[in-house]
Amino acid sequence: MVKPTLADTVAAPAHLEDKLYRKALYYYFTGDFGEALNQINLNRQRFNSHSSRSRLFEAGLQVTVGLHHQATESLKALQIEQTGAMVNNVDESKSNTSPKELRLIALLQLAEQQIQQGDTNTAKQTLSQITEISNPYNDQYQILNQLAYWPELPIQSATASEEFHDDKSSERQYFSDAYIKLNQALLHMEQGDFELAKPKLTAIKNTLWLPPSKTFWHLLFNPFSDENEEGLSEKTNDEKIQQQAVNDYAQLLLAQMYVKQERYEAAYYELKDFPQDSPYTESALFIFAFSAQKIKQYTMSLKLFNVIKERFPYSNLGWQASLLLAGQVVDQMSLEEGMTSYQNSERLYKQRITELDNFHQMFLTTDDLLTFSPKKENFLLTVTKPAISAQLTMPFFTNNVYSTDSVWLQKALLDNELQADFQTLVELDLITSHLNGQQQKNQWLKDTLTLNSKRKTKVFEAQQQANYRAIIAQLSDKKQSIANIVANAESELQGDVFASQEQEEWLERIKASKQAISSIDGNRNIEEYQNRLKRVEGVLTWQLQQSFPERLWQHKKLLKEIDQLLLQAKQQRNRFAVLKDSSLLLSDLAERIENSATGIEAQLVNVAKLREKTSNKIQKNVRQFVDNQRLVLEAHLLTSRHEMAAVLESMAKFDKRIEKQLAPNLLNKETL
Amino acid sequence: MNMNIYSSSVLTRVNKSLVLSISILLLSLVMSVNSFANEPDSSKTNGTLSTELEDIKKQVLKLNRDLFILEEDLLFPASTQVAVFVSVDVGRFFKVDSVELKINDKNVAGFLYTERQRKALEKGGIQQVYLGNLKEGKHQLTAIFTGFDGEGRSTKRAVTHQFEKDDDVVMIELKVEDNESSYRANVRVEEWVL
Repeated sequence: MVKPTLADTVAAPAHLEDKLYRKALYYYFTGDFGEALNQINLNRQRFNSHSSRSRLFEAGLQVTVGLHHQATESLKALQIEQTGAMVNNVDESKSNTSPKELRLIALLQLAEQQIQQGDTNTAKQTLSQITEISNPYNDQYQILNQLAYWPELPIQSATASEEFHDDKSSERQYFSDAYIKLNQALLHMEQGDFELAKPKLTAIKNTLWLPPSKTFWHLLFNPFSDENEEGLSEKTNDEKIQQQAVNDYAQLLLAQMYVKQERYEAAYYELKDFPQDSPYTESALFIFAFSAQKIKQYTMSLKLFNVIKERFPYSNLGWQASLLLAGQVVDQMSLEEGMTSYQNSERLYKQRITELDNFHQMFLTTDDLLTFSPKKENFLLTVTKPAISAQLTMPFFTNNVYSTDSVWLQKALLDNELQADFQTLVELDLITSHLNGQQQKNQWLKDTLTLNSKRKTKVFEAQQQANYRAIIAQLSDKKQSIANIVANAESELQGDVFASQEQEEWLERIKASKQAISSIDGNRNIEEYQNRLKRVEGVLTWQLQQSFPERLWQHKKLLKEIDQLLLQAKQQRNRFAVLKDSSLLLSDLAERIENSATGIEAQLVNVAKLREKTSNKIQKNVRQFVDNQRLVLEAHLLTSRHEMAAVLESMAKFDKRIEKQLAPNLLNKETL
Repeated sequence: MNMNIYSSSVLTRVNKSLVLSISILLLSLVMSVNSFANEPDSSKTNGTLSTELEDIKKQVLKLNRDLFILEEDLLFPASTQVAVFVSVDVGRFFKVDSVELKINDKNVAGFLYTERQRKALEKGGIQQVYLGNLKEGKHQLTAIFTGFDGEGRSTKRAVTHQFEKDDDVVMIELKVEDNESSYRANVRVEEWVL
């Protein structure tokens, strides 16, 4: 029997909807997002279960697995539905989240998706529909609002909801405030309004920022959320890292602003206590060294430039540091030492250019870009995929970021677009592996169906040979005759009803003897015969009466058994009829298997095409990266050579000056 | 000194964990959208590729679902299908460690929980622990849970349930529920009404 499908089902009752939703939740909490999404889809298809809560959950899962456009569509539909639910005052008692809150979440997530897709105008419209905002969502709203209206000032359409108002919240400083202020400060700096940027950056630098409270929905829609994986201590650690990073970034921006204003001393003192293990150490170190040089802290700047050169040999700042260092050596030490320093720089750039060309050559000749110097764990991720998964789970969603051992590729991967393209390759490989698994599974189902069909055909043939009508008629006759015997026995209670063949023969002989005796009656003395006959008849009747109950019971039992046989024969006949019809079901299954096979084939082709396109794009972007890097290096090389020429010129001038100073003496000698 | 070089470097060297979760990423996204406006080809190609990837993912998900339903229709038709689920309500007095299922005294399934799976149950998830086929008629399900009580002592809970399989799917939920009055957990059985 086929299960009901969408077409012939009614909406699942609330309790069932809740259970089906919780089935999907189990997969989500165990980190199997693909399976959770699959479950939500199954709930809808099998049981017509699609509450607002499920839809929002589905949209969140779609975001998690990278289906942003689909999530946008789901959220749009949900937002419309929730607006209707609010107007009609519909309360989904099965959900802990009210229609009002669900609508708010849907609008916020929709706006976020629209911003991510670059559709800021629509995001503005979406955000303008929010009129009331509650505490757990205020941070998200403020950030989205700023991003949607950037670089203009955002329009606040929403007011704080009294329902969720928390007096203490206004005193707290959350990360979201820090990010909003950072963005504002950046804008001020870009516009040259340094006086406006400074107080903001100083405040960010000196404030202890708190992580905002997060609901289940916040975590669901954040594909990078590690809430489910990490322990509390690691979460706290992440918050500390964020706190430090926000403060450091503000400090760095302040220093950068001072440099732009040519206030090198201020920049120098700003970065004097900058932490060494910050993600911004490289930039901070460079600005610090540069400022030190500008304010004539030469010993310090010399050391710092050397450190930068050694610690960041492939970074643009490291390359610049080399030139600045050489320049300082020329100024502070001697021309010869300066010359050596410039020569070192020249050697460095030439070496880098050669390495860059080698990298490019090797990269160009690599067919599968993921095999180009991958990190060991990445290699395992992409190569040792299971040939077929035991269940049809979806292992093609990964949060593992692609990384490589190649320093040049590492540098190229700082570009988000290129990183995303590599990630696409990883995902496409996982999809291919998954599709191969599906293909094998489909083939297995096909084989199972073939076996099933063969078995049914055999049963069908065997059943066809059996003449059910004759069997049933025969059994019915038998049943009738026994039923008659039993009825007769029960009404007459005569033992001879159940007489055996031998007993019947005896009864016949007795009857015949009686007739014979009556025919000779009067001619002979028959009294003795009659007495003997009566004795025999009496014994026989006694025997029959004695066995009557047992034989009656046996007949009744036989009747029951025949009845059972008759029922089985009829059931068999009916099953046979169903079997005839089930061939239609098998053909339906066969068709579905064929469709799946075609679908899998088509997707494998699509994946291969997309992989090729992505690889070409990566090659193009890497070529561009290499060209840019070469330009930078050649520019540095050229500068170093110009500077060397200048140093040589200075050395020549110096030599001439010496020569001139020595010349009169020489002349005097010659005269003497 | 070239300011542009290090200022752009500052923007790109944002801590990854920070980048992934904060608005600066979104801001850079918006900025990158603006900068992409000057490079229509790159933006277009990028958009097309990501849309194509999304389409493929969507199709694969659909294929997955169809295949799953197909498999269930073929291997576990409603007339014989029996499914058993496990759920935990609160889980303060009993931390589930494993479950063993018997149907008509035959072992049919066993499951050993990881910390994450246990937490998933305690957060409200329902786990399908068994899916199988049974003939029409009366059957007996026995479930034996092992775990730890509130004080960390190893403990067991067992339950037996008689049920009748007819032409419809039978879904049985084993609910491990905390009992506030006795400070212990009980296993309750609920047959889902479809």
